[in-house]
Amino acid sequence: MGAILTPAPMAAVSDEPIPRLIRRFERLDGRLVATVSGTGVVVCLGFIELLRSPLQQLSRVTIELLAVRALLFLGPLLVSLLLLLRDGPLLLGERRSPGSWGPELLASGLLSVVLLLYYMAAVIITASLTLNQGDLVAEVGFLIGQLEPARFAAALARAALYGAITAAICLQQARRSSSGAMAMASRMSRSFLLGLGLLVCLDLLWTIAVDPLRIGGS
Amino acid sequence: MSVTPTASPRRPGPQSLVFLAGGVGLLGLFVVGIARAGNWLTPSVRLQFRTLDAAGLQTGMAVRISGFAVGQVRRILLQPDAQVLVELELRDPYRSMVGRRSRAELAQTGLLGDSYIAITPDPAAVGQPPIGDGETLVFTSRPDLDDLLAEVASSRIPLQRAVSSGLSLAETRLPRSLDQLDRTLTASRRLATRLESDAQRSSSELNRTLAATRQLAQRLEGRADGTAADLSALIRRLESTETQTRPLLLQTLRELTTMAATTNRLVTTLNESWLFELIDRPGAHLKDRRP
Repeated sequence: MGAILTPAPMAAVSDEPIPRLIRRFERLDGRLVATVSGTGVVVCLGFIELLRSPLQQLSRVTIELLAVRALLFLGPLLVSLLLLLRDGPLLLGERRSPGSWGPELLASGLLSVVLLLYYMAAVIITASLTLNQGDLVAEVGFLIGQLEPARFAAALARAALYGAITAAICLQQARRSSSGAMAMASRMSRSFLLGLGLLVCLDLLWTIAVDPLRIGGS
Repeated sequence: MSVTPTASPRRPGPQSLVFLAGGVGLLGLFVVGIARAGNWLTPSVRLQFRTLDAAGLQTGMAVRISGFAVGQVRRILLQPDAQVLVELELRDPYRSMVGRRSRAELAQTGLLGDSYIAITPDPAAVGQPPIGDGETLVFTSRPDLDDLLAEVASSRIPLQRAVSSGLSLAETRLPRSLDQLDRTLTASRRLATRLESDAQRSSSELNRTLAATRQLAQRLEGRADGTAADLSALIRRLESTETQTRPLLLQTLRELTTMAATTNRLVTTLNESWLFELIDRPGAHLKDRRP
């Protein structure tokens, strides 16, 4: 996770929106994508094992679908937290008024969506490889086809929202006047805790209010 | 990756661009996969059916004809009359297989497999105008699992009775039948042994008879050959004799004919003479001579 906790650049940066967006997108590198994809693989393997062990009689397709759908639900929370760990130090190093947070919020939302796509690709390929019985390409196509459009769009929207929220938390914490390494670490820790708590609460609210397991169902 | 104070506006690095493009590609892949699964890219026709119970029905479940996926359930609506309206989406190439006599029913792959809507094909629909958009199919509900279990439970006692009666029958009749079968087999074995020895004897006698018959036939053949030769010689002798005696015989016959004719004339003359009349009617000649 050393790649995630990249030291924040403390230098002044341009206030123009486009350079700020580009600066954020430049942080989308192989290490971040590998971290997200690896998280998808590990979580998917664990979830499939969890499903498969006590439910020996459940069919292979059912396990795959359950894993993919459940991890699609968890995905936005995981990728947003990973993005917070990655970009938190960068965002905490800047002091901006809330009126100029737009590019950062937009960039975090878009990055979160992109990371969610990599995460889902890792989950689907892992599920197909783990329980594969022959035609891998057909199985991947089948699992992608089983994603309901409403559920998929909701996951993308939640990822964008959660990414923007984590960025807002970091920018809000950056407005505190204390400086120094200890203060920076403290702000990072507080941002992570706040982000985690807030996103879990939002997921809980989503579960209660929208009932994601019924999205797209009858 | 850090940002220097003198950083000027520039494009993201190639690595970031690659991953951004990868993200866009993945998004496109997901959208195309979902669109293909949802038949967004192929023309389709909407059909519907009504049922009294929505249990087991689910939006997105497959619609199959002869086990082949041809569409999916689009919407399930509860109507004001408490009936359930189910809208199906059928892919256009399979439209011609469905006719007005087609029926929809809820089916399941195996005991624990996925449920799906099975549509029975209508062979009469082939060659006819295709079924129209929004037409209603007849839905036939399958027997419920609870009903089946209740039926199995109700049939358990008669089945148990039948099994027990069958067992008792087997206990009483089976040993006797086995004894009889054993006896029959023993008798059959004895009969087979006897038949085998008789057959051996018969075959040896038959062989002897055949050999004697063969000898007899050979002897008869030899004799027949000799008789035929004798007969040929006799015929030849007869022919030569006949050749030799034919002129004599002809002459004799002519003489006999001449003698017969002479005798005949003699008899006629004698018959007409008075001497014979005298012999037949003595004194008749005297009577004729009296006045």
